[in-house]
Amino acid sequence: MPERTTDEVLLRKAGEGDQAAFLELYDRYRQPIFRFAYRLLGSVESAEDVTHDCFLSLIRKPGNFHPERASLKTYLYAAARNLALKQFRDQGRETGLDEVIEEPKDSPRRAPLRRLLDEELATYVREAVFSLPPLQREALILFEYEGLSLSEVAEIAGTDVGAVKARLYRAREGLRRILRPYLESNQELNSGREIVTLREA
Amino acid sequence: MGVEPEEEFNSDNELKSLLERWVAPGPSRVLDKRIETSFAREFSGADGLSQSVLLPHRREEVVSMKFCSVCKEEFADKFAFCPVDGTPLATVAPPVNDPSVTVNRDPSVTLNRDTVAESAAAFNHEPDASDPVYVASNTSSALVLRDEYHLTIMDDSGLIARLSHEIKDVSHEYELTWPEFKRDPFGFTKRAFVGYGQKLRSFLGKPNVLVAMGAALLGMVALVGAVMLMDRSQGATSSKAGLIVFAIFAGGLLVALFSTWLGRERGAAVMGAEPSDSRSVVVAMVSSFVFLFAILGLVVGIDYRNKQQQLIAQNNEELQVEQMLDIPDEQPTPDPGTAGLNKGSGGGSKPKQERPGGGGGGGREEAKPASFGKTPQASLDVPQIIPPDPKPPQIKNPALPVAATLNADPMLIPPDARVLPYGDPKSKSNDPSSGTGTGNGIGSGTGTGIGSGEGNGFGPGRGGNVGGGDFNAGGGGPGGGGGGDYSKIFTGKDVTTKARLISKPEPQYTEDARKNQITGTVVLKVVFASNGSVQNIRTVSGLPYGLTERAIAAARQIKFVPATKDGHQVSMWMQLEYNFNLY
Repeated sequence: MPERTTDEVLLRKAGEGDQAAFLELYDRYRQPIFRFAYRLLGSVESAEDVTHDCFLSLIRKPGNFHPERASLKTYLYAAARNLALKQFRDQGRETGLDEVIEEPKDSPRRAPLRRLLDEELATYVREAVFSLPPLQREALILFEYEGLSLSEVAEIAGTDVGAVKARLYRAREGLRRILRPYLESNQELNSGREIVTLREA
Repeated sequence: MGVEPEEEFNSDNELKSLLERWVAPGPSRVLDKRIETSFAREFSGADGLSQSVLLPHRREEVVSMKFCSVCKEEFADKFAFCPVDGTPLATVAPPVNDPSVTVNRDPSVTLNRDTVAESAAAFNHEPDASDPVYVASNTSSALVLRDEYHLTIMDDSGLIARLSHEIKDVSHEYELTWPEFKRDPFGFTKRAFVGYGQKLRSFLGKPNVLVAMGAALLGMVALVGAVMLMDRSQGATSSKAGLIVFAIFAGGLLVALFSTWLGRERGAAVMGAEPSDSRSVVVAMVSSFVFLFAILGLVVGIDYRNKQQQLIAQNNEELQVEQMLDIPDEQPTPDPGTAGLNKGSGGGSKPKQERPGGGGGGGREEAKPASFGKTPQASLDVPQIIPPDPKPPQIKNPALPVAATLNADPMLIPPDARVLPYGDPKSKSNDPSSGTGTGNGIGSGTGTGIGSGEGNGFGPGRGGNVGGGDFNAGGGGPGGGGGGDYSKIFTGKDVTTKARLISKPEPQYTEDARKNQITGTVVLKVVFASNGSVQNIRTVSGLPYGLTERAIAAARQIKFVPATKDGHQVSMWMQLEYNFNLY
């Protein structure tokens, strides 16, 4: 609760032109919003655009945010979602897929083979997520990756919990179907991963 | 959304751990910097905007009023005549009696006032008191000052703008004088004549005006005379050239005069005349030019008409009979619309054009007129068994349902898919009724049809079918318009239905291409011919190592339903794209 009031205070100050307050606010949410946009759009550039516009909208259209209706976090997610959907529409379809070359580089300390396998797996997972329809994808990303509650996801997607559940269910079904080979060997992979994490630690 | 479903949703750890393999990068410093800059710009930009918005830019408002010299009352600017006694109103100067105030105001208002004042002066028979400022004060000192006061227009608007201003003002004046005219048309006309006559007289009385007019007339007459002389002495071509030269010269002169007249320096000298006279001189010259041009135009127009008539007469005289030709009887022309449809008076199913005839009628002797509804299925081949009835059938589920029909050409009465009871489509009544006629049909006629006629058809007439009069099958006649050449190759937007693919075999990779890791797209332009084959294969963009050839081979094996246009199978251009991907 106290954090939320601080959000609002910061937002008010930012609205009055206080750059420090705005940057503090930005620092608080930049990670999740960028991550969300990146996973939705699949390209760093697009995600940066969306993050930029999303935070700037706090200043440009301060009337859009109603503190009594939703938390700032939810609002930012929703704004990022709408901007990302707009990009979808503008660009036609997921052209971003081809752009996803700049994958996050894992630590070079890992064994090369393990790294290669991990990267391959990450690519498959990413492509599997991208093969989902946008609405299912966003529900999945918000719920699985961002760890939001069902009601929060529903609020961001502008729908009810039932619809979110349905989308999640379908998204998981789709993913299981696509990633079946990896799921079957997952036990092994998991154990392998355990070793890696242990060694890293 | 209890706790339970969420837990249930969270239980899928296997998938979740797999999903976590896809790690998203964090936002870069570049983005941080960008957002910081945007924020700063947002606020500096907003400041600039508010400043520009807040800049006060108010125009000075001057309320102009008019003054009636008879009842000594002030009225709003829109009045041209005193609403109390009908006296033409003069503009009153603002309380500060400073000429600069008048000068700085909107030009239209100033001009307006000028015109009003002048007309007022004319009507008041006080030509000397026409100065806008001093008419209102009505003092004798104004008469002395009249010549010293020169109206200076300080606006910088262009020639066209000022001309349109003047025209607008004049039309506005006429709008305002209209009520006065309606009140007393004869008196108004008389006053106007007297006023304008006086104005004209005073205008002509000005020095040099008559001389200027005479000079302009003389110049014009000389020009015209020169052109006519040229016309007489030489051929038609030179006369044309002369006319063009004359027109250019006269046009240039007119433009020059008008621009001087409406130019910024009204007091400027014209052709060496004294500045004070220039204006009247210019007006005189312009009016004489306009007068002359009007006369000249009239003369030329009449001459042209006469010549045309002479030419026609001449042509008629020169005609002589060379050969007699039989003009064949007029061919029956098809009615507008596609042949065979019920447009116009022709149409019908018969191949030869023939006007259909016949009709039908009926009714069940009810009090109310026939109700609105659709016509049943029409047919000439199947005899009518059940006549149409607006009311639902009495037997709810008949063992052998028989639909009501009409005996008419289905081309003329197309099937009606609407969910409506049967009835007369032309009726306006909605109460279910078979109408006042007899014979179990619908309408006011007799028989089992619909309408006012007799028989089992539709409409007035007898013996079935439609069209009035006696039964006649009717036909569509020649042609039918439409398509014409169906052998050419059409594009997708010209055909009625596009070609539809039945099977599209995928091309196979060549070994060489696979070895060389060739991927990409082969684009082919082909014709899906009307006979079902793929022809005219052209490569728009190809790929090496035999992939283009493979794509072409695959394209040849495509099975499709040809495109159609107006019911004919036609050839159609298509673009095919073959994606070659290596996984």
